[in-house]
Amino acid sequence: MRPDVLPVMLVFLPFLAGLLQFIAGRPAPRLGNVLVGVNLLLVLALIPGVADEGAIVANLGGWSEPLAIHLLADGLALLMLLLTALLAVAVSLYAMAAWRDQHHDALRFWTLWPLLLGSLNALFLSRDLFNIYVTLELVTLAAIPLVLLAGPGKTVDAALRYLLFALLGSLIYLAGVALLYAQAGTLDLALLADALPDSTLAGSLGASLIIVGILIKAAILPFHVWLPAAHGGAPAAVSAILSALVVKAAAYLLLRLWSGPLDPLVTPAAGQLLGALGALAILFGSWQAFRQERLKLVVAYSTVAQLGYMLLFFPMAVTAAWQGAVYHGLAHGLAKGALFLAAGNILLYLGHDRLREMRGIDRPLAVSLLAFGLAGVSIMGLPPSGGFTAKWLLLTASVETGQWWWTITLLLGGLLAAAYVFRVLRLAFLQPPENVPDRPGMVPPPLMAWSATVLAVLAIVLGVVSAPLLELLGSPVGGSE
Amino acid sequence: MSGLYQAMPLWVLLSSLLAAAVILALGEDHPRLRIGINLAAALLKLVLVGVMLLGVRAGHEFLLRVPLMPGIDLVLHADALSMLFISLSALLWLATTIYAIAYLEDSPNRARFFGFFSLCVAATMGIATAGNLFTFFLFYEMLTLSTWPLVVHRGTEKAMRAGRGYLWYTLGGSAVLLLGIVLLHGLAGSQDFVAGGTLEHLVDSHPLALTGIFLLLIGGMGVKAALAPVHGWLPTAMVAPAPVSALLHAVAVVKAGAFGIVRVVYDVYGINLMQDLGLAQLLAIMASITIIYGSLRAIWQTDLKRRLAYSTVSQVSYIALGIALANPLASIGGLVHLVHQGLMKITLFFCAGCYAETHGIHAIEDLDGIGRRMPWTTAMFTLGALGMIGLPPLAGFISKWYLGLGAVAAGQFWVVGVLLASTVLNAIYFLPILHRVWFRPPRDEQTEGLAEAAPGLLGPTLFAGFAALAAGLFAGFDWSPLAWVELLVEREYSP
Amino acid sequence: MSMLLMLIPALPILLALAALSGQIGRHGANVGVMLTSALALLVVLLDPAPLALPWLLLGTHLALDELSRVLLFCAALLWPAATLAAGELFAGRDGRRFGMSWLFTMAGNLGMLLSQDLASFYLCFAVMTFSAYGLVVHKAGNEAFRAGRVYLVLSIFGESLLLAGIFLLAAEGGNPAVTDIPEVFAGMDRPQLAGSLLMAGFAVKMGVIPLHVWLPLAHPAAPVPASAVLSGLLVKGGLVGWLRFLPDQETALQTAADLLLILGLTGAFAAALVGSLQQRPKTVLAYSTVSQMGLLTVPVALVLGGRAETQTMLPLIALFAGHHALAKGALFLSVDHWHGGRWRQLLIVIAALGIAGLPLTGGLVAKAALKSATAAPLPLLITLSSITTSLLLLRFLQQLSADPGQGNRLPAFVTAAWGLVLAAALLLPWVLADPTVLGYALSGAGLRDAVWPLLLALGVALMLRRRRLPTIPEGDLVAPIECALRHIKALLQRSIGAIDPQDLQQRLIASVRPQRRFRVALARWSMTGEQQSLAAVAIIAMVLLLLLLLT
Repeated sequence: MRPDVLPVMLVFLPFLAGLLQFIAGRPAPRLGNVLVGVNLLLVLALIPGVADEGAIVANLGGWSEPLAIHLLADGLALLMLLLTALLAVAVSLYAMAAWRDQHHDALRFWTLWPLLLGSLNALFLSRDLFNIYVTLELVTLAAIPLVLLAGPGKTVDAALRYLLFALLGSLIYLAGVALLYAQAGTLDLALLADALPDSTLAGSLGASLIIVGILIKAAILPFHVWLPAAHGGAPAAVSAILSALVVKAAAYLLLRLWSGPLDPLVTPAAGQLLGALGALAILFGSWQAFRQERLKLVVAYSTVAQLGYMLLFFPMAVTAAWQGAVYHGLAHGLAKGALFLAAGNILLYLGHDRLREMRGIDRPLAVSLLAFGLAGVSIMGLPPSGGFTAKWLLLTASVETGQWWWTITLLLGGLLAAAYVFRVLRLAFLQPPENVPDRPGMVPPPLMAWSATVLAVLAIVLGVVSAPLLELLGSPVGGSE
Repeated sequence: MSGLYQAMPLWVLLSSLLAAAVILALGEDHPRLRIGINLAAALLKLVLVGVMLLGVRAGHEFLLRVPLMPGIDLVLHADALSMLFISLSALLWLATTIYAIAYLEDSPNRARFFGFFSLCVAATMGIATAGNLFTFFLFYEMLTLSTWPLVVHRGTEKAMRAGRGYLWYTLGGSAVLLLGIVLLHGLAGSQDFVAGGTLEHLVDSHPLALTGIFLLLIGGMGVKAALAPVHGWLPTAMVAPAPVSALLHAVAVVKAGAFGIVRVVYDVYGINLMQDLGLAQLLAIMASITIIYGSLRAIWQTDLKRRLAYSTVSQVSYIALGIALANPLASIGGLVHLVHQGLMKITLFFCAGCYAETHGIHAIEDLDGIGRRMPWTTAMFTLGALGMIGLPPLAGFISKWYLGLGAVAAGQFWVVGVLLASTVLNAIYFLPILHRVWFRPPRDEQTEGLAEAAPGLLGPTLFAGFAALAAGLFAGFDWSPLAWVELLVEREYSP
Repeated sequence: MSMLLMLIPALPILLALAALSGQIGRHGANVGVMLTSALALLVVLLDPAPLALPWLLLGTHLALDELSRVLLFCAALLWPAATLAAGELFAGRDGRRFGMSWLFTMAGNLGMLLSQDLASFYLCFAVMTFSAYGLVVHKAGNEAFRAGRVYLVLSIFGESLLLAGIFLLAAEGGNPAVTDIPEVFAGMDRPQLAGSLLMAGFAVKMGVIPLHVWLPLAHPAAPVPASAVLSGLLVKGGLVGWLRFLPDQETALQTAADLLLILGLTGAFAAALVGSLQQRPKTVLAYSTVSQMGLLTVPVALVLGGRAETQTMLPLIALFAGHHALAKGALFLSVDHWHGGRWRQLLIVIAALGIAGLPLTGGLVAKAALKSATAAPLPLLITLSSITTSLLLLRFLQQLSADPGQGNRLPAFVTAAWGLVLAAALLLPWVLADPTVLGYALSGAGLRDAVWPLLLALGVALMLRRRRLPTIPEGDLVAPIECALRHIKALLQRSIGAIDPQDLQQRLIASVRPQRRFRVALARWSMTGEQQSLAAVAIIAMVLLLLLLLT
């Protein structure tokens, strides 16, 4: 098999599976699981090629430049694909157990989820601004109905607000793309940088619009308002996908565009601004997470905070920062997936997720709590974990560039993260009250518990296998250094 | 075969790491199997450590290097200093495990307890064998995390508060430590621990940066080593079960901090550089303040374990003081105190646990006349307390002896004053306890007759107490901690 | 053969462990102590070669020297006698504790006599000191506890001084053996400092004024046999320490030694006078010990300061110390024997006046020896001190006869052992002293010098018999100091409220807690509200800001 078939299959197989599911009309979790399995194998099969050649390009439809639609798998894309594939497996297994008895919801999930997976894959592989817009819209449109799976009426408000912001973001992004196209005459990421004329107002405005559009989608601080309700309200499996992948995709995009086509337009000052937003997100998000009274909101606000770390690349813009930001994306994805799945298990057992009333859950939910704890290690950025490696890289970058204010932010962020993670973990150790009330829910089946744990363990393992992954990632394409 | 032998630090690490994993996985259902695995692992580790001891004594150095990040390796490296710490931990792990099995008999959540306990020891092994600052930090954090569940094990509000305090202090300390490590990494790149330090060439170009980083490193480790003013977590953490206190104070946590300080001073900065930068004096002053302050605070504590905790605050700084004086004699005193303090303090905490578990006694004033009912426990407590005061022939005397000699040799006569003041203060807060336990009539004259602690509690207590005695009495013996430390210091000072 | 030296301290330690486990009764203790004594006597007779144990502590050296040979002999007699007298104390509820304290004290005491290096001497000294606390407070109750407190405070004070001195010494010579001491001092920068510290540290044990205050409190509080060994043997620890670890003939130490001399002489007189005003026989004896040790300090101070020949002084120091050990031990034990019949009372009177220098007793020889070796005006002073000593001991006899006593009959072997010690006290000096001293003691002048102070004292005692004498509280200096401390504590409590730093810290923390208003403001921030419009504004602002930065 030629390696350039792989990216194509990565995009089309999920869509095909979603379509099949839709036609079948009854939930077929096995199909979904086979799909994510195959998806993972495909991604793994991509690794040697990318490692050898740096990137694999697939040309869709056989058109030549400038009409060609390329799929490009380079190190960055590959890592994001890998993260997606790993999460997809865990979430699918979890979902299979979670929706075993709910026919209607299961059908919707198993239809939408492959579509979302395909859209994400396509987003990561796309290499022109318009395709990116399309895939970004697809991701949003597949994601929002998933939020509604929580139950009749529960998350309608949240989903609507999500929709509103997502569309707004897309529109602003599209406006920016249009402006740039007018300037450069091309949308191809590789060509754009060279084609853009130097510092025109329109060019700058276009770049600004693109960035702000993505910021909204990525729920970066002032635009985070839609996120907690949507992520906190959705079913656990969906929350995991949204928090770990969907917003991450937007953040990924910002990294890719900033170091690629927008490189000639960006200035250090803008980088500092984004960094400042990231820092604010870290501090504010963590503080809010600490103050929440409901478990899933804690985890959701944690996402707001964690996304901020990825923005710290922009002010520093050195290789270590690049690696740190991307690595943080990976680590956070795995850890946050585990956190949401574990939180889902707790919710399932207790019937609620109010922190004050959680006691005596350590025995029935030991495995889930283990997952929560391990994932928490990575979220806090404590060694050995992916989160720590990322933090280390970012710290190194801040020392290297002499921008000590990010150093302080990073360290403070870690402490704040510890505050909210341990606020949850302590529940596992609190003495149960004298009269234990009847538990309405059931003890989660092993599959649900262990799928969370596997993700958490992966987040930890990420801390000890960083060398090959970072080598795969390489340096920022157009980065300043 | 030689590869396997070379990887000894890894096996030692794994012996408790795997035990932890298995214990946690087993859950509550198989107590006998769990106890079996726990003891087997502890014994196995002891054997492995024994093999390593022979190797290191013969001049072999175990080294294991795994690349972790670009430019950063995970290095496990066992030298004489590592062995000092490892041997102590391995030995006391066994004792504490036996003690804990008896102590927690029939209490809930034992699998969790023993699992994290083993994890702690694994982290300690990692700290001891870490070959560079990065690896050190890795295990240092692992220790922080695996200790927390033990501190909050009881699950009461008080325990939770203690746990919160513990986390704030230690994680804050780690953040500072991490900052120091990152800055040093930026300045000098990744550096393995090498006797005598590796930073000498930077002293002319970056004296200020080196000073700042030193302060960050020591500040970060000082939290665990309970240097004043960042010692606050230790006394509150005494709400944990007695074996945990033993672990915190003697086997792992506090020791890890002190050990880290030793590593930074000896193997990162080197004694000469530290003196050139004027940091030695600073460290000595910090340590001295802690010694006096901890002792002063201990006097007013009415809870036995709290008093012991403040005593630790004071005693652990002997180690820092010893190395800060920067001459061979004081170094011997400081390093050997790493072991001696562990032996004595674990004895004391074991005894406190025996009192609490057998007769429900926590407050010092309830100890009146307990010597009649628990003569052996009380005798061991007496040994520990007298050792802390620094009376011969107990281990504490040997430490104090060398520290005193070192202070005189360094011409720092004020340190002799500190040592004497500490001795007197120790006497002030320990001797009244001894007076109570032996000579006061019991509050309740009805309670007559022997009522010793259970064998599982008394056995480890006797072991630790006599070990504290033997470490002092047979200090001249070839395999005593003192002899080992002398060997170690000889290597450090004559490269 | 040399291993016997090791066995002597080791045996009591094993016995102590047996006592701890409750496996030893009074018989076990008796047999064990006698066995140890037999070994000690054997060692005294055989005088084995020194023993080096490099693996023990910091390298241990055990050996006998001239002084310790005499003292070991005394110990070998006094310990069994006292142990037999202790009898019932080993049994019963607190027997375990008493046995431990007793046997550890013995181990420390015997070990101290044998150990010839700094570390192990300090070890034995400390074991002796701290185990003896158990003997002092054994009776429990306020008097014993007060005595114990004063004893401990002074002991710790002494030990700290010693430790400081030891650091200085050891920094120069590692763990020096006794033979290396002069060399170590010769190489030191500040021999005065180290010397003075050691001198003062050991002075606590010797009861040199003003560090003597523990003696008159501890002796009456402790059980009778404990007082016997305390006064007879334990206080000699200071003497042994002085002679072993201070260099003789060292001019650098002359000032300190002279001060010691003056204090010793002052103590000899003052303690005797204060003691003569005491009410209880054991307190009187305690002051007698202070007084006698004051006298004994004189030759030591002369040797240390280089004002007398070591060779001539050492034997008579041993003589004086040995005699005092046996005589004072026997006298303390005799407190229980007074009501045992006329013969015993006669023996006690002879022993008591023997210390004052009654003709034909060992005490006379001891004093004669002291006088023979010193220069004027010391012999005169020593003769004069006989007056005060006589007064003191007459007071003792008077109070003893007035004491109602317990009246219980003691077993014969207890009496026999006591008699043995008494006899040894009377005879030992005759064996040890050299012929010229003996000649003087038996000559007319010697007898005259011995008798007139006694008669004078007897006269004074008879004269004052009916008078109401002023009283001085036991422990003289302690009472005002305790009073002052109480006042200071009260003052502190009034002014600061409490001395505990915890309270101060709490107050400090409470004052910097974040204000509640601030928290509420933060909480409001997260609430959802008019977010849409806010978001719109934010978006526009962000675009503009970025635009500004990008162009």
